[in-house]
Amino acid sequence: MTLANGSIGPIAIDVDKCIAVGQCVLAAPNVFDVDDGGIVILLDPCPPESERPAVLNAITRCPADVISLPEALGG
Amino acid sequence: MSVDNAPDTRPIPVRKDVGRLETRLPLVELNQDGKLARFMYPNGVEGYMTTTAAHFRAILSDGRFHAKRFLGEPQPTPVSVELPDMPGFIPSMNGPDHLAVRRLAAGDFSVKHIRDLGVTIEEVVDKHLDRVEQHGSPADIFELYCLTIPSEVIARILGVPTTHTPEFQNAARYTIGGLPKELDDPEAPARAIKTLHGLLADVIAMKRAEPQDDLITRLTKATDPVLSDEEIWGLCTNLLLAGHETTATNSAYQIAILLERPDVREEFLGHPENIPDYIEELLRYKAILTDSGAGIPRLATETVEFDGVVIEEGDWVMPCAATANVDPSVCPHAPTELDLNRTPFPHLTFGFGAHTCLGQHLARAELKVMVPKIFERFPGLQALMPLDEVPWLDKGFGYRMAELRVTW
Repeated sequence: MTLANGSIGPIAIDVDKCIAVGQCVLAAPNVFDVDDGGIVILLDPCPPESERPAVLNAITRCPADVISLPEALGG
Repeated sequence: MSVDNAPDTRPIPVRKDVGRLETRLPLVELNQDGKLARFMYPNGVEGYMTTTAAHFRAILSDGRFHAKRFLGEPQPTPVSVELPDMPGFIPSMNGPDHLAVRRLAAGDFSVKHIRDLGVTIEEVVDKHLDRVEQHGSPADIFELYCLTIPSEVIARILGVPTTHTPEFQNAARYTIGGLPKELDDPEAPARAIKTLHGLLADVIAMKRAEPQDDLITRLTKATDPVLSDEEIWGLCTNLLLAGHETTATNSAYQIAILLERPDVREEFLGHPENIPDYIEELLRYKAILTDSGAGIPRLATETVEFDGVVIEEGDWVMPCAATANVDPSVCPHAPTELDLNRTPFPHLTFGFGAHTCLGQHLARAELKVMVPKIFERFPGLQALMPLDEVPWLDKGFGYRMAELRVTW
Protein backbone atom coordinates (compact mmCIF):
# COMPACT_ATOMS: atom_id res chain seq x y z
CA MET A 1 0.00 0.00 0.00
CA THR A 2 1.30 3.46 -0.88
CA LEU A 3 0.02 6.18 1.38
CA ALA A 4 -1.38 9.47 0.07
CA ASN A 5 1.93 11.26 0.65
CA GLY A 6 3.90 8.73 -1.42
CA SER A 7 5.26 6.78 1.53
CA ILE A 8 4.76 3.11 2.44
CA GLY A 9 3.67 1.62 5.70
CA PRO A 10 3.01 1.82 8.44
CA ILE A 11 5.76 -0.69 9.28
CA ALA A 12 5.26 -2.48 12.60
CA ILE A 13 7.95 -4.20 14.66
CA ASP A 14 7.57 -6.72 17.50
CA VAL A 15 10.62 -5.83 19.58
CA ASP A 16 9.95 -8.67 22.04
CA LYS A 17 10.79 -11.20 19.33
CA CYS A 18 14.00 -9.49 18.14
CA ILE A 19 17.06 -11.75 18.38
CA ALA A 20 19.54 -8.98 17.52
CA VAL A 21 21.17 -10.31 14.38
CA GLY A 22 20.82 -7.01 12.55
CA GLN A 23 19.65 -8.31 9.18
CA CYS A 24 17.21 -5.39 8.94
CA VAL A 25 20.00 -2.81 9.24
CA LEU A 26 21.95 -4.49 6.48
CA ALA A 27 18.89 -4.67 4.25
CA ALA A 28 17.37 -1.23 4.92
CA PRO A 29 19.77 1.05 6.81
CA ASN A 30 17.58 4.12 6.25
CA VAL A 31 14.63 2.49 7.96
CA PHE A 32 16.14 0.38 10.75
CA ASP A 33 18.95 0.74 13.27
CA VAL A 34 19.97 -1.21 16.37
CA ASP A 35 20.59 -0.10 19.94
CA ASP A 36 23.67 -0.96 22.03
CA GLY A 37 22.17 -4.36 22.78
CA GLY A 38 21.71 -5.06 19.07
CA ILE A 39 17.91 -4.76 19.30
CA VAL A 40 15.99 -3.24 16.39
CA ILE A 41 15.00 0.44 16.33
CA LEU A 42 12.44 1.54 13.76
CA LEU A 43 13.73 4.87 12.40
CA ASP A 44 10.86 5.54 10.05
CA PRO A 45 7.55 3.65 10.13
CA CYS A 46 6.41 5.30 6.87
CA PRO A 47 9.47 5.57 4.61
CA PRO A 48 9.29 6.79 1.01
CA GLU A 49 8.14 4.43 -1.72
CA SER A 50 11.77 4.10 -2.90
CA GLU A 51 12.53 2.10 0.28
CA ARG A 52 9.96 -0.58 -0.53
CA PRO A 53 12.38 -3.19 -1.95
CA ALA A 54 14.77 -2.70 0.96
CA VAL A 55 11.99 -3.08 3.52
CA LEU A 56 10.67 -6.23 1.83
CA ASN A 57 14.22 -7.59 1.84
CA ALA A 58 14.49 -6.84 5.56
CA ILE A 59 11.23 -8.74 6.16
CA THR A 60 12.54 -11.76 4.21
CA ARG A 61 15.90 -11.73 5.95
CA CYS A 62 14.66 -11.27 9.52
CA PRO A 63 14.92 -14.77 11.03
CA ALA A 64 12.54 -14.01 13.89
CA ASP A 65 9.53 -12.55 12.04
CA VAL A 66 9.85 -9.22 13.84
CA ILE A 67 8.89 -6.83 11.02
CA SER A 68 5.57 -6.47 9.25
CA LEU A 69 4.21 -4.25 6.55
CA PRO A 70 0.46 -4.34 5.80
CA GLU A 71 0.97 -5.21 2.11
CA ALA A 72 3.50 -7.96 2.87
CA LEU A 73 0.72 -9.67 4.81
CA GLY A 74 -1.61 -9.31 1.87
CA GLY A 75 -3.53 -6.52 3.64
CA MET B 1 7.69 -42.73 18.89
CA SER B 2 10.61 -42.60 16.53
CA VAL B 3 11.43 -45.18 13.90
CA ASP B 4 14.63 -46.28 15.63
CA ASN B 5 17.18 -47.94 13.42
CA ALA B 6 14.70 -49.11 10.83
CA PRO B 7 16.84 -51.36 8.62
CA ASP B 8 15.72 -49.72 5.39
CA THR B 9 16.83 -46.18 6.27
CA ARG B 10 19.53 -45.05 3.85
CA PRO B 11 22.82 -43.74 5.12
CA ILE B 12 23.19 -40.08 4.25
CA PRO B 13 25.03 -40.07 0.90
CA VAL B 14 27.90 -37.71 1.49
CA ARG B 15 30.61 -38.34 -1.06
CA LYS B 16 33.92 -38.35 0.76
CA ASP B 17 36.17 -39.94 -1.81
CA VAL B 18 36.64 -37.33 -4.50
CA GLY B 19 36.21 -33.62 -5.09
CA ARG B 20 36.49 -32.45 -1.52
CA LEU B 21 34.86 -29.18 -2.37
CA GLU B 22 31.81 -30.92 -3.76
CA THR B 23 30.77 -33.11 -0.83
CA ARG B 24 27.18 -31.96 -0.94
CA LEU B 25 26.39 -32.73 -4.56
CA PRO B 26 24.88 -36.18 -3.95
CA LEU B 27 22.44 -34.61 -1.49
CA VAL B 28 21.34 -32.10 -4.08
CA GLU B 29 21.00 -34.70 -6.81
CA LEU B 30 18.88 -37.16 -4.89
CA ASN B 31 16.17 -34.78 -3.74
CA GLN B 32 14.06 -33.68 -6.64
CA ASP B 33 10.64 -33.76 -5.03
CA GLY B 34 11.27 -31.22 -2.25
CA LYS B 35 10.00 -33.54 0.49
CA LEU B 36 11.74 -34.29 3.76
CA ALA B 37 14.24 -37.14 3.31
CA ARG B 38 14.95 -39.67 6.04
CA PHE B 39 18.56 -40.67 6.60
CA MET B 40 20.87 -42.54 8.90
CA TYR B 41 23.56 -40.05 9.91
CA PRO B 42 27.22 -41.12 10.23
CA ASN B 43 26.99 -41.38 14.04
CA GLY B 44 24.18 -43.93 13.71
CA VAL B 45 21.27 -41.65 14.59
CA GLU B 46 18.32 -41.29 12.21
CA GLY B 47 16.57 -38.12 11.27
CA TYR B 48 14.68 -36.23 8.60
CA MET B 49 16.59 -33.77 6.46
CA THR B 50 15.04 -30.71 4.81
CA THR B 51 15.79 -30.25 1.11
CA THR B 52 14.32 -26.82 0.35
CA ALA B 53 14.84 -23.27 1.59
CA ALA B 54 11.16 -22.97 2.56
CA HIS B 55 11.28 -26.11 4.73
CA PHE B 56 14.56 -25.00 6.28
CA ARG B 57 12.99 -21.72 7.35
CA ALA B 58 9.72 -23.34 8.44
CA ILE B 59 11.30 -25.95 10.73
CA LEU B 60 13.61 -23.42 12.35
CA SER B 61 10.74 -20.97 12.95
CA ASP B 62 8.43 -23.59 14.51
CA GLY B 63 8.56 -23.65 18.31
CA ARG B 64 7.42 -27.29 18.40
CA PHE B 65 10.89 -28.25 17.20
CA HIS B 66 13.42 -27.74 19.97
CA ALA B 67 17.12 -27.02 19.80
CA LYS B 68 19.23 -29.56 21.67
CA ARG B 69 22.97 -29.90 21.07
CA PHE B 70 25.62 -32.46 21.81
CA LEU B 71 23.15 -34.76 23.53
CA GLY B 72 22.64 -37.66 21.14
CA GLU B 73 21.46 -35.86 18.02
CA PRO B 74 22.35 -36.82 14.42
CA GLN B 75 25.87 -35.64 13.68
CA PRO B 76 27.98 -35.42 10.51
CA THR B 77 30.88 -37.56 11.71
CA PRO B 78 30.99 -41.20 12.88
CA VAL B 79 31.90 -40.31 16.47
CA SER B 80 29.34 -38.15 18.28
CA VAL B 81 30.62 -35.15 20.14
CA GLU B 82 28.97 -35.29 23.55
CA LEU B 83 29.45 -32.43 25.95
CA PRO B 84 28.30 -32.17 29.57
CA ASP B 85 25.06 -30.30 30.17
CA MET B 86 26.00 -26.67 30.76
CA PRO B 87 23.69 -24.01 32.20
CA GLY B 88 23.75 -20.92 29.99
CA PHE B 89 24.59 -22.99 26.88
CA ILE B 90 22.11 -21.34 24.50
CA PRO B 91 22.11 -23.90 21.62
CA SER B 92 20.27 -26.23 24.01
CA MET B 93 17.85 -23.63 25.38
CA ASN B 94 14.43 -22.81 23.98
CA GLY B 95 11.63 -20.26 24.24
CA PRO B 96 11.76 -17.11 26.40
CA ASP B 97 14.64 -18.38 28.61
CA HIS B 98 16.79 -18.81 25.52
CA LEU B 99 15.98 -15.35 24.17
CA ALA B 100 16.67 -13.63 27.50
CA VAL B 101 20.13 -15.19 27.91
CA ARG B 102 21.00 -14.77 24.25
CA ARG B 103 20.21 -11.06 24.43
CA LEU B 104 22.76 -10.57 27.20
CA ALA B 105 25.53 -11.46 24.74
CA ALA B 106 23.94 -10.06 21.58
CA GLY B 107 25.14 -6.46 21.93
CA ASP B 108 28.80 -7.47 21.80
CA PHE B 109 28.19 -9.28 18.49
CA SER B 110 25.88 -6.70 16.91
CA VAL B 111 26.60 -5.05 13.56
CA LYS B 112 27.72 -1.88 15.37
CA HIS B 113 30.09 -3.48 17.88
CA ILE B 114 31.68 -5.72 15.29
CA ARG B 115 32.32 -2.69 13.10
CA ASP B 116 34.22 -1.16 16.01
CA LEU B 117 36.20 -4.37 16.37
CA GLY B 118 37.72 -4.03 12.89
CA VAL B 119 41.02 -2.63 14.15
CA THR B 120 41.41 -5.46 16.66
CA ILE B 121 40.77 -8.07 13.98
CA GLU B 122 43.36 -6.50 11.65
CA GLU B 123 45.87 -6.48 14.49
CA VAL B 124 45.31 -10.15 15.36
CA VAL B 125 45.47 -11.16 11.69
CA ASP B 126 48.71 -9.20 11.12
CA LYS B 127 50.30 -10.85 14.15
CA HIS B 128 49.44 -14.28 12.72
CA LEU B 129 50.77 -13.36 9.27
CA ASP B 130 54.08 -12.47 10.96
CA ARG B 131 54.07 -15.88 12.63
CA VAL B 132 53.47 -17.67 9.34
CA GLU B 133 56.29 -15.66 7.77
CA GLN B 134 58.65 -16.48 10.64
CA HIS B 135 57.77 -20.17 10.34
CA GLY B 136 58.72 -20.08 6.68
CA SER B 137 57.56 -22.03 3.64
CA PRO B 138 56.11 -24.65 3.56
CA ALA B 139 53.61 -24.18 6.39
CA ASP B 140 50.28 -25.58 7.53
CA ILE B 141 48.19 -22.43 7.58
CA PHE B 142 45.22 -24.28 9.04
CA GLU B 143 47.21 -24.65 12.26
CA LEU B 144 49.19 -21.40 12.17
CA TYR B 145 46.55 -19.03 10.84
CA CYS B 146 42.98 -20.27 10.40
CA LEU B 147 42.66 -22.10 13.71
CA THR B 148 44.19 -19.56 16.07
CA ILE B 149 42.83 -16.22 14.85
CA PRO B 150 39.15 -16.85 15.71
CA SER B 151 39.86 -18.09 19.24
CA GLU B 152 42.13 -15.11 19.96
CA VAL B 153 39.45 -12.70 18.74
CA ILE B 154 36.80 -14.40 20.92
CA ALA B 155 39.19 -14.23 23.88
CA ARG B 156 39.47 -10.48 23.35
CA ILE B 157 35.68 -10.00 23.13
CA LEU B 158 35.15 -11.99 26.31
CA GLY B 159 37.97 -10.16 28.07
CA VAL B 160 40.19 -13.19 28.72
CA PRO B 161 43.52 -11.66 29.91
CA THR B 162 46.48 -12.24 27.59
CA THR B 163 48.13 -14.26 30.38
CA HIS B 164 45.27 -16.79 30.08
CA THR B 165 44.77 -16.65 26.30
CA PRO B 166 47.14 -19.45 25.18
CA GLU B 167 45.57 -21.92 27.63
CA PHE B 168 42.13 -20.76 26.54
CA GLN B 169 42.97 -21.30 22.86
CA ASN B 170 44.54 -24.65 23.58
CA ALA B 171 41.48 -25.90 25.47
CA ALA B 172 39.29 -24.68 22.61
CA ARG B 173 41.17 -26.90 20.17
CA TYR B 174 40.83 -29.98 22.34
CA THR B 175 37.07 -29.55 22.57
CA ILE B 176 36.02 -29.72 18.95
CA GLY B 177 38.26 -27.79 16.65
CA GLY B 178 41.71 -29.26 16.95
CA LEU B 179 44.29 -30.94 14.82
CA PRO B 180 44.01 -34.65 14.00
CA LYS B 181 46.46 -35.71 16.70
CA GLU B 182 44.59 -33.66 19.28
CA LEU B 183 41.26 -35.25 18.45
CA ASP B 184 42.49 -38.85 18.69
CA ASP B 185 41.59 -39.09 22.34
CA PRO B 186 37.81 -39.47 22.79
CA GLU B 187 38.05 -38.22 26.39
CA ALA B 188 39.84 -35.01 25.35
CA PRO B 189 36.74 -32.83 24.79
CA ALA B 190 35.36 -33.49 28.27
CA ARG B 191 38.77 -32.74 29.82
CA ALA B 192 39.08 -29.54 27.79
CA ILE B 193 35.62 -28.41 28.93
CA LYS B 194 36.78 -28.95 32.52
CA THR B 195 39.92 -26.89 31.85
CA LEU B 196 37.80 -24.10 30.41
CA HIS B 197 35.58 -24.28 33.48
CA GLY B 198 38.52 -23.63 35.82
CA LEU B 199 40.04 -20.99 33.61
CA LEU B 200 36.80 -19.07 33.11
CA ALA B 201 36.02 -19.30 36.85
CA ASP B 202 39.31 -17.44 37.46
CA VAL B 203 38.50 -14.84 34.84
CA ILE B 204 34.94 -14.32 36.15
CA ALA B 205 36.33 -13.75 39.68
CA MET B 206 38.83 -11.25 38.27
CA LYS B 207 36.07 -9.33 36.47
CA ARG B 208 33.86 -9.25 39.55
CA ALA B 209 36.78 -7.80 41.53
CA GLU B 210 37.93 -5.41 38.79
CA PRO B 211 35.23 -4.68 36.21
CA GLN B 212 36.40 -3.83 32.70
CA ASP B 213 34.88 -2.98 29.34
CA ASP B 214 34.35 -6.53 28.11
CA LEU B 215 31.63 -9.13 27.71
CA ILE B 216 32.41 -11.21 30.81
CA THR B 217 32.21 -8.07 32.98
CA ARG B 218 28.87 -7.20 31.35
CA LEU B 219 27.58 -10.72 32.04
CA THR B 220 28.59 -10.46 35.72
CA LYS B 221 26.48 -7.30 35.94
CA ALA B 222 23.44 -8.64 34.07
CA THR B 223 20.12 -8.15 35.84
CA ASP B 224 17.51 -9.57 33.44
CA PRO B 225 18.19 -12.36 34.13
CA VAL B 226 20.98 -12.39 36.69
CA LEU B 227 23.52 -15.03 35.64
CA SER B 228 25.30 -17.36 38.04
CA ASP B 229 29.01 -18.04 37.53
CA GLU B 230 28.03 -21.45 36.14
CA GLU B 231 25.75 -19.85 33.55
CA ILE B 232 28.46 -17.37 32.54
CA TRP B 233 30.85 -20.30 32.13
CA GLY B 234 28.33 -22.20 29.97
CA LEU B 235 27.56 -19.16 27.82
CA CYS B 236 31.23 -18.25 27.32
CA THR B 237 32.12 -21.86 26.48
CA ASN B 238 29.26 -21.79 24.00
CA LEU B 239 30.54 -18.57 22.37
CA LEU B 240 34.04 -19.99 22.13
CA LEU B 241 32.94 -23.28 20.57
CA ALA B 242 30.53 -21.59 18.17
CA GLY B 243 33.07 -19.05 16.96
CA HIS B 244 36.12 -21.24 16.77
CA GLU B 245 36.07 -24.25 14.49
CA THR B 246 33.43 -22.66 12.26
CA THR B 247 35.43 -19.60 11.18
CA ALA B 248 38.68 -21.59 11.30
CA THR B 249 37.31 -24.06 8.77
CA ASN B 250 35.37 -21.61 6.65
CA SER B 251 38.45 -19.41 6.25
CA ALA B 252 40.48 -22.48 5.26
CA TYR B 253 37.81 -23.46 2.69
CA GLN B 254 37.76 -19.98 1.20
CA ILE B 255 41.55 -19.78 0.98
CA ALA B 256 41.59 -23.30 -0.51
CA ILE B 257 39.01 -22.38 -3.15
CA LEU B 258 41.09 -19.35 -4.16
CA LEU B 259 44.21 -21.53 -4.30
CA GLU B 260 42.51 -24.09 -6.50
CA ARG B 261 40.73 -21.68 -8.83
CA PRO B 262 43.06 -19.04 -10.34
CA ASP B 263 40.08 -17.43 -12.10
CA VAL B 264 38.24 -17.00 -8.81
CA ARG B 265 41.39 -15.77 -7.09
CA GLU B 266 41.96 -13.11 -9.73
CA GLU B 267 38.38 -11.89 -9.53
CA PHE B 268 38.37 -11.90 -5.72
CA LEU B 269 41.66 -10.08 -5.24
CA GLY B 270 41.10 -7.74 -8.19
CA HIS B 271 37.95 -6.15 -6.77
CA PRO B 272 38.51 -5.47 -3.07
CA GLU B 273 35.38 -3.30 -2.94
CA ASN B 274 33.28 -6.39 -3.68
CA ILE B 275 34.86 -8.65 -1.08
CA PRO B 276 31.86 -8.54 1.31
CA ASP B 277 29.61 -9.89 -1.49
CA TYR B 278 32.23 -12.45 -2.55
CA ILE B 279 32.44 -13.72 1.02
CA GLU B 280 28.65 -14.20 1.03
CA GLU B 281 28.78 -16.28 -2.14
CA LEU B 282 31.67 -18.35 -0.76
CA LEU B 283 29.69 -18.92 2.45
CA ARG B 284 26.71 -20.03 0.41
CA TYR B 285 28.80 -22.35 -1.72
CA LYS B 286 30.81 -24.12 0.96
CA ALA B 287 30.69 -23.97 4.77
CA ILE B 288 31.52 -26.43 7.51
CA LEU B 289 28.08 -26.93 8.98
CA THR B 290 26.34 -27.30 5.67
CA ASP B 291 28.05 -29.46 3.15
CA SER B 292 27.80 -32.85 4.82
CA GLY B 293 24.05 -32.45 5.17
CA ALA B 294 24.41 -31.64 8.82
CA GLY B 295 23.56 -28.45 10.54
CA ILE B 296 21.40 -27.55 13.41
CA PRO B 297 19.24 -30.50 14.44
CA ARG B 298 15.83 -30.04 15.97
CA LEU B 299 13.85 -32.44 18.15
CA ALA B 300 10.09 -32.75 17.63
CA THR B 301 8.45 -32.17 21.02
CA GLU B 302 5.12 -33.39 19.68
CA THR B 303 3.88 -35.26 16.63
CA VAL B 304 3.64 -32.81 13.74
CA GLU B 305 2.24 -33.26 10.26
CA PHE B 306 4.64 -31.34 8.06
CA ASP B 307 3.95 -30.98 4.34
CA GLY B 308 2.61 -34.51 3.98
CA VAL B 309 5.07 -36.21 6.35
CA VAL B 310 4.16 -37.24 9.91
CA ILE B 311 7.07 -36.35 12.16
CA GLU B 312 6.67 -38.31 15.38
CA GLU B 313 7.36 -36.84 18.80
CA GLY B 314 11.00 -37.60 19.59
CA ASP B 315 12.10 -37.59 15.95
CA TRP B 316 15.06 -35.49 14.84
CA VAL B 317 14.82 -33.09 11.93
CA MET B 318 17.98 -31.70 10.37
CA PRO B 319 17.44 -28.38 8.60
CA CYS B 320 20.05 -28.67 5.85
CA ALA B 321 21.60 -25.42 4.60
CA ALA B 322 23.55 -27.25 1.87
CA THR B 323 20.34 -28.02 -0.01
CA ALA B 324 18.54 -24.80 1.02
CA ASN B 325 21.37 -22.71 -0.44
CA VAL B 326 21.09 -24.38 -3.85
CA ASP B 327 17.30 -24.39 -3.96
CA PRO B 328 16.41 -23.04 -7.45
CA SER B 329 13.51 -21.06 -6.00
CA VAL B 330 16.01 -18.80 -4.19
CA CYS B 331 19.09 -19.36 -6.35
CA PRO B 332 17.85 -19.87 -9.92
CA HIS B 333 21.06 -19.70 -11.95
CA ALA B 334 23.51 -22.63 -11.78
CA PRO B 335 22.98 -22.99 -8.03
CA THR B 336 25.66 -25.63 -7.49
CA GLU B 337 28.32 -23.47 -9.14
CA LEU B 338 30.41 -20.82 -7.44
CA ASP B 339 29.65 -17.44 -9.04
CA LEU B 340 31.21 -14.44 -7.30
CA ASN B 341 29.11 -12.07 -9.38
CA ARG B 342 25.79 -13.67 -8.54
CA THR B 343 23.07 -11.24 -7.47
CA PRO B 344 23.36 -11.52 -3.69
CA PHE B 345 20.48 -13.23 -1.90
CA PRO B 346 20.09 -14.17 1.76
CA HIS B 347 21.76 -17.58 2.00
CA LEU B 348 20.96 -19.75 5.01
CA THR B 349 24.46 -20.75 6.10
CA PHE B 350 23.98 -18.89 9.39
CA GLY B 351 20.66 -20.60 10.04
CA PHE B 352 17.22 -19.13 10.63
CA GLY B 353 14.82 -18.65 13.53
CA ALA B 354 15.56 -17.83 17.16
CA HIS B 355 18.96 -19.57 17.09
CA THR B 356 20.29 -17.81 13.98
CA CYS B 357 24.06 -17.48 14.34
CA LEU B 358 24.77 -14.82 16.94
CA GLY B 359 28.34 -14.40 15.71
CA GLN B 360 27.61 -14.02 12.01
CA HIS B 361 28.82 -10.42 11.76
CA LEU B 362 32.02 -11.40 13.55
CA ALA B 363 32.51 -14.33 11.17
CA ARG B 364 32.07 -12.05 8.15
CA ALA B 365 34.41 -9.41 9.62
CA GLU B 366 37.10 -12.05 10.23
CA LEU B 367 36.76 -13.69 6.81
CA LYS B 368 36.93 -10.44 4.89
CA VAL B 369 40.30 -9.72 6.52
CA MET B 370 41.76 -13.23 6.85
CA VAL B 371 41.15 -14.35 3.27
CA PRO B 372 42.56 -11.44 1.23
CA LYS B 373 45.39 -10.61 3.64
CA ILE B 374 47.16 -13.92 3.36
CA PHE B 375 47.33 -13.52 -0.43
CA GLU B 376 48.55 -9.94 -0.07
CA ARG B 377 51.34 -10.96 2.30
CA PHE B 378 52.36 -14.02 0.26
CA PRO B 379 51.61 -13.25 -3.40
CA GLY B 380 53.11 -16.56 -4.52
CA LEU B 381 50.90 -18.62 -2.20
CA GLN B 382 50.22 -22.13 -3.54
CA ALA B 383 48.76 -25.32 -2.13
CA LEU B 384 51.47 -27.89 -1.42
CA MET B 385 49.32 -30.70 -2.78
CA PRO B 386 46.19 -30.96 -4.90
CA LEU B 387 43.17 -30.34 -2.71
CA ASP B 388 41.84 -33.81 -3.50
CA GLU B 389 44.81 -35.18 -1.59
CA VAL B 390 44.52 -32.96 1.48
CA PRO B 391 43.81 -35.13 4.54
CA TRP B 392 40.21 -34.80 5.62
CA LEU B 393 39.02 -35.22 9.18
CA ASP B 394 35.87 -37.06 10.13
CA LYS B 395 36.19 -36.69 13.89
CA GLY B 396 34.76 -33.96 15.98
CA PHE B 397 32.16 -31.40 15.28
CA GLY B 398 32.22 -31.32 11.51
CA TYR B 399 33.59 -33.09 8.48
CA ARG B 400 36.43 -30.83 7.33
CA MET B 401 39.98 -30.48 6.06
CA ALA B 402 42.59 -31.45 8.65
CA GLU B 403 45.37 -29.23 7.33
CA LEU B 404 46.11 -26.77 4.57
CA ARG B 405 49.78 -26.95 3.67
CA VAL B 406 51.06 -24.16 1.44
CA THR B 407 54.27 -22.83 -0.07
CA TRP B 408 55.15 -19.32 -1.19
